[in-house]
Amino acid sequence: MSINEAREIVQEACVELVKAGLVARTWGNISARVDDEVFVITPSGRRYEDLTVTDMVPVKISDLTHEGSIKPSSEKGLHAEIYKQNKGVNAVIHTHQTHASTVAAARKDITGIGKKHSALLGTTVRVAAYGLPGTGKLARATAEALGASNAALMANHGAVCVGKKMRDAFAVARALEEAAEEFIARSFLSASGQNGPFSLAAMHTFYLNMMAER
Amino acid sequence: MTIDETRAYMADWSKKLCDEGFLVDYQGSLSCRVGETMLISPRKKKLSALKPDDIILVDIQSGSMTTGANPPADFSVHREIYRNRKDINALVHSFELNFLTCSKSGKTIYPLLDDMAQIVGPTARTAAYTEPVKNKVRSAVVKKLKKRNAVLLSDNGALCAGNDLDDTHAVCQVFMKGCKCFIETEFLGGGKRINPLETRLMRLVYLMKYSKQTVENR
Repeated sequence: MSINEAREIVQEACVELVKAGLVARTWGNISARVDDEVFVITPSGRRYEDLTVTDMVPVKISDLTHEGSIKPSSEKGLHAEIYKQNKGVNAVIHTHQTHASTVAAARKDITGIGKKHSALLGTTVRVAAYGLPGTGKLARATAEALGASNAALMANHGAVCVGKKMRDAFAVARALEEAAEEFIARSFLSASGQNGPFSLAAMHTFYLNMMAER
Repeated sequence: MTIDETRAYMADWSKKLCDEGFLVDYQGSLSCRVGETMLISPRKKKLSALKPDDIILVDIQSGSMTTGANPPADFSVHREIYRNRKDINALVHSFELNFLTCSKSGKTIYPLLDDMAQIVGPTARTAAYTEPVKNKVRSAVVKKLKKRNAVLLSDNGALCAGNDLDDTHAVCQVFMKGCKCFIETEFLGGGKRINPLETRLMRLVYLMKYSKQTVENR
């Protein structure tokens, strides 16, 4: 794939992911592999809606150096680590998606994933150990939790989703959000002893009663 | 922006904030600072259909406004914040469900996600709040908002603050997610707190560097 083709793929993904509500504003980052040495990633601190194809930044996997004056995402090291480790991965999406981030805030794996999502996610999505944003510690811990799977949670931060193609990584991000939402609902019903179906209003009422008793 | 431009800007944002559930018709308020004046949404108006002419102009120092104007019950809190925080130019008072629940719990919300540490601050605290708003309440809100971009008002949701309404909208989004995490992780074995020192470091880096990238990294 050429650098320009990768840039186009990333720019189109920005539009689609914003539409789907999986990324917003400047939060998260998206990349596509060019070859064994280079990937193209969204720039640092810029809004997805404002990005053009030429704003996407080529970065070397080996040393994280980049071409041009536009700075790449500060999470470039995370993407490089994943491309180094998983030769079959050609697209990486890092999101701050709501439900997955909630589970990540509890530093819990998502377990018991049902048939609807297990083809993409497996039965468990692991959570990586905590690292400050943009650090090597975060990159290594996330790549380790990801292993050969398609998704991992990043403790107190968000999620990373990968695929052979960008549309595969996109599908993983969607499936992860649904699986995380179901996991939260199941956990609430189990912890509260309530019978389904899940109700957000019931969860909030239960929470307030629980806090009042403490 | 001129006062007329700000009125139109606020009417647009009011609809957007209603679409996203941060404001509800007849509940909540939004305001902007323009120089020495404050523009604020009125009481008993449909916020999803707010018109530029509905918006009330208030002198920040004296509190004087157009005769017959019907400001929201919290208008003096907005004014007090503009008097005390020169870095804040836009406020949204939201009764979104996660804000409301956290404001009822009375808990201090510590960041369970990095983005809350960066955009909201090291914690979000609850200020005692009752209406009609008295001086003690106004002072408490300003105090609890110190060095932060959001504060919970007891039993009354959250007040989110920023440099403009776009910035304040970002605070609403991130703080709402932070409150959701705070509530829902209770059923996931509890939220795992980020080291408070690292929380403060992230906030500093965000304010000094990352928040400027949107303009500078071109």
